[in-house]
Amino acid sequence: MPFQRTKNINLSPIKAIELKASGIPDVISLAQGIPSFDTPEVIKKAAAKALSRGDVAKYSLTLGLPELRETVEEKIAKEGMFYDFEKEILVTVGSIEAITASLVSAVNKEKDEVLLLSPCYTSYQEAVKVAGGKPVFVELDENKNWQINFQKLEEKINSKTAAILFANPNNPTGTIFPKNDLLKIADLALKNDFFIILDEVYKDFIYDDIDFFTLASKPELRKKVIRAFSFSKAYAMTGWRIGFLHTDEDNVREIVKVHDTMVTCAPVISQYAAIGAFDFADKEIEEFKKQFVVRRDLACRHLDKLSEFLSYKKPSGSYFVFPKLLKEDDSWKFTLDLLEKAHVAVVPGVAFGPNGEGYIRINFGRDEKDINEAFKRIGKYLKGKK
Amino acid sequence: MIRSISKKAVQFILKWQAKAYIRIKRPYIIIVAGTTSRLWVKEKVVEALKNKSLSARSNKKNFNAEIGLPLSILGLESGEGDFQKWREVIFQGFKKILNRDSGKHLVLEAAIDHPEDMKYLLGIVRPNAVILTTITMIYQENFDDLDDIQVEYKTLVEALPQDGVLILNNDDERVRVLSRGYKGKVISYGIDRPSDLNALDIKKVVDGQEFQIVEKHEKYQRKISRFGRHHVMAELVKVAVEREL
Repeated sequence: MPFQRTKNINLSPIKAIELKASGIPDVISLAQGIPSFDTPEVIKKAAAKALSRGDVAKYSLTLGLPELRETVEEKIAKEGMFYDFEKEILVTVGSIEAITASLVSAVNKEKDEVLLLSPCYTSYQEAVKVAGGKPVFVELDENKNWQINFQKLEEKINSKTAAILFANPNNPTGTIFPKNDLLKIADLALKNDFFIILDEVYKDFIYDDIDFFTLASKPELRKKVIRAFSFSKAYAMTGWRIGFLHTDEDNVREIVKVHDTMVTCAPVISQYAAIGAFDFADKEIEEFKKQFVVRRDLACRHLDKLSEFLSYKKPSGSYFVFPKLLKEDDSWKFTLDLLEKAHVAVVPGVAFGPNGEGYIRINFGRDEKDINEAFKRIGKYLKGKK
Repeated sequence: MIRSISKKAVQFILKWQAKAYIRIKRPYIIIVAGTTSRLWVKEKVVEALKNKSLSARSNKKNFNAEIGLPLSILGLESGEGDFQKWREVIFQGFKKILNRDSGKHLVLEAAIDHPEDMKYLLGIVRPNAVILTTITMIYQENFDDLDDIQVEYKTLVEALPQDGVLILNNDDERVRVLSRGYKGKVISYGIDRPSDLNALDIKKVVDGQEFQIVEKHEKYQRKISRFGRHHVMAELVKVAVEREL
């Protein structure tokens, strides 16, 4: 029978919701993780310059343009992460390619289990399956603001554990994992010989002066930690499909084989845009962050008014809030009904793993007008159901 | 049209201010040139000068000869696309020329994108010391071949005074030959070829790299917290600067 390998792999529910929403006129989507902003002009200018110079028509080196990798080395060094741009930085097609290529390299017959902290980004479990692995969910503790329960985590670790994959800040909960917890994960990874795949695409959107720590800054973990970053969220470049990973050269040497086979290289015009982003767009990121704080607080105020129906934890990072449905159990059913009757798209919590059932994810990265209108409709819908 | 005229006017004023600054302050000028690793080398040069308790200033990153270099000399930030900001930049430029601070050591990155860029650069600033890293094609899409890039750096070396210092990467064949004909002090550094300063036995360790530096008849151990050959080379430049400047 054909397609045996892919029959258990699902298309992302987020995209399924977006597809359904696209057929409904006047819909407001707070579903997919797209910020409302356009790519900053300085970035577009860098891409346009490369285009007019005629530099973008050919493949780059498989690892990526040396100019970009050197710029990445410089940028991450300022954040305390030291990696060799010639051998340890790989430019990828967004962070999901970085993650999938890493999983394909890390998973094997003897070690095929990948730990996912649930709720987690929907595509992680599918990426694990694409790599031939088995997703193993570890439930985060909602009562402790979606932090890690180490007893549950240790119960799931065994000789078949190939890696742990998680986002920090987490998507969909906006939780930031503290340094001590991350170091505990590192101890477990060293003791049990598995990789830590870190997805830090939301690290530029951390609010309320909360400290952020990355395991990629610990030299003794270089061989165990693979860090993925994307320009999509931080620089409003979701359509450019550009990101990178960095880890010890021994790991990159293997991951690049998958990357080369799948994509040859990341889009060259986007690589030039990424150089522009790191060189010139710091101020724009700051502006985005300010806007997201305003929008988060706005979304939370709306949620406070709906406390009879929804409870939530205020997110410390990312641009998502993950409220609990107080009068519903089936998040898929709720989401589809909300879309049909109120013309508002959100993502059902179950899409983020079994621990997400009974919740919905709301993207507050949209503009204030959309947020206000969407909550007006959600309020009317919920009150009408009473 | 107006934008282009404004850009040219800003370029003209900045060039004039940079030249005036150099004439009045007379800083010791070190130019870091080459197609790769300029940033890391520049950092190490500043570190070496500071270790010698010498005051040094460098730019963050040099983007072009026309605007970036004068801004680096004056120690100012770009006004980006904002007319008001550029007006303030120019005002600050005049203040820099007139204030009492002396110029001290100025470490500048020579970023050349096009043929003849070096000539433009030398029209603003003349070096006291030049550090040459590599000549490779990877960053230089506007040049036809490596020989054309080499011509640019030859022009830079020719601008060095007899009492200047030329520090160059001996492992790069096109860089190595640029010392020919220069009568001043030349210090070569490298990993693969015997040089005035050599790095040997480079070992990657958990938290960086360890290697030996061989200098005349002396050998000593060095450890750095960065990874990659380019950082070893930058460390050799640091030693050269500590010894000779």
